[in-house]
Amino acid sequence: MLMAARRPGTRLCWCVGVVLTSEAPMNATQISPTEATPSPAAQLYRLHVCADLLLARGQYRYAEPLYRAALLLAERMFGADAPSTAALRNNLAVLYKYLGRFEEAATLYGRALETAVKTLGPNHPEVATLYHNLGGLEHARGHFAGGEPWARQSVAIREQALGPDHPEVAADVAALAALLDGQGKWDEAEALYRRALAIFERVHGPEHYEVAVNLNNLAALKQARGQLDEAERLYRQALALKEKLLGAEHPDTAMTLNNLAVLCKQRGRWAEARSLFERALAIFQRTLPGGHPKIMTCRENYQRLRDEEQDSNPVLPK
Amino acid sequence: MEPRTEEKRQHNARAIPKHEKKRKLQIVKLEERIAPRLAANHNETLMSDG
Repeated sequence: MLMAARRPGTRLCWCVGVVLTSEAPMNATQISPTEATPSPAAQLYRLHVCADLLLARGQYRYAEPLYRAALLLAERMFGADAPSTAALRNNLAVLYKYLGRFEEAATLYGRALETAVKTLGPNHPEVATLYHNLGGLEHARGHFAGGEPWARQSVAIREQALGPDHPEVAADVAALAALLDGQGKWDEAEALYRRALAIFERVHGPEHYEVAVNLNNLAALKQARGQLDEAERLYRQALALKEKLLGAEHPDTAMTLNNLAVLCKQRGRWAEARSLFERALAIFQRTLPGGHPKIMTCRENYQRLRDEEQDSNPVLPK
Repeated sequence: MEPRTEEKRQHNARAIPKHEKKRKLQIVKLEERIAPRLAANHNETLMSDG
């Protein structure tokens, strides 16, 4: 039964026998029962659809119990080594990566990969997704060289299956570019970012999340190369897109706010940098668990700015 | 008037597309219908001012 009125700006999602409205940030208190006893299949479907939605919205802490419940249900319905069960392990691992729980993510990816290779074969595109994600986990850990072989495997498999201009190939190419960028292999990284961007813009148009992520990364690469005007232009483009597509409170929006703050500081615009760091840090602290690497990095950046402001003008309050 | 009614009935019968008559039930496995899609993560750069 539909519990919420349908009106412009209201998106509805049926989930675990509940209705969620998206007018305000989604949280557990907005969940209200709508069905008496949905079938296990309906429960599983709603659980993972809703968890995917929460993950995309950056509401990580609410996604975890849903993924865990979906995984238990899938294990009971299809068995521990079914492809669907492996997919849920993968999705929970992606969530753990975003939460900074890298060891748990690695264990889940390993198990999912084993199942996927056994049931689908070593060159299946789903296997390529797991290679992509294993590379992504290494990226999040800062182990860029360790992630490169995983990313190269994902590109090779998917390119073979889908051709060089498919958007899923572009996602693999962009992930590889970020791993090369982290190692200072800037020429190859820039060429790959541009290749991925061209595909995303052709397929999805200029206003898409994939475009925003790659503009942010290309901006960071330009900043590292000292091309600050170009970097700032790209950051501002990425930020405008993220604010429009994800909202001002999404942790991915905070990533670009932090990066733009670093750039502003580098260009001597300290007041602007301070305000951007404060916005980024507040979002990270609201959406990520305490001690998360992104919180730590952003806080250190902010503290360094405050210290330098203090050194240059000792009368400022600490 | 009679022949005209008959003609109309025959015309309606011919209007039913062939594929409508030949449609068969398809069996889709439950797991395929509700299967989650594998999510891919994004490698996004976070700058450190170090």
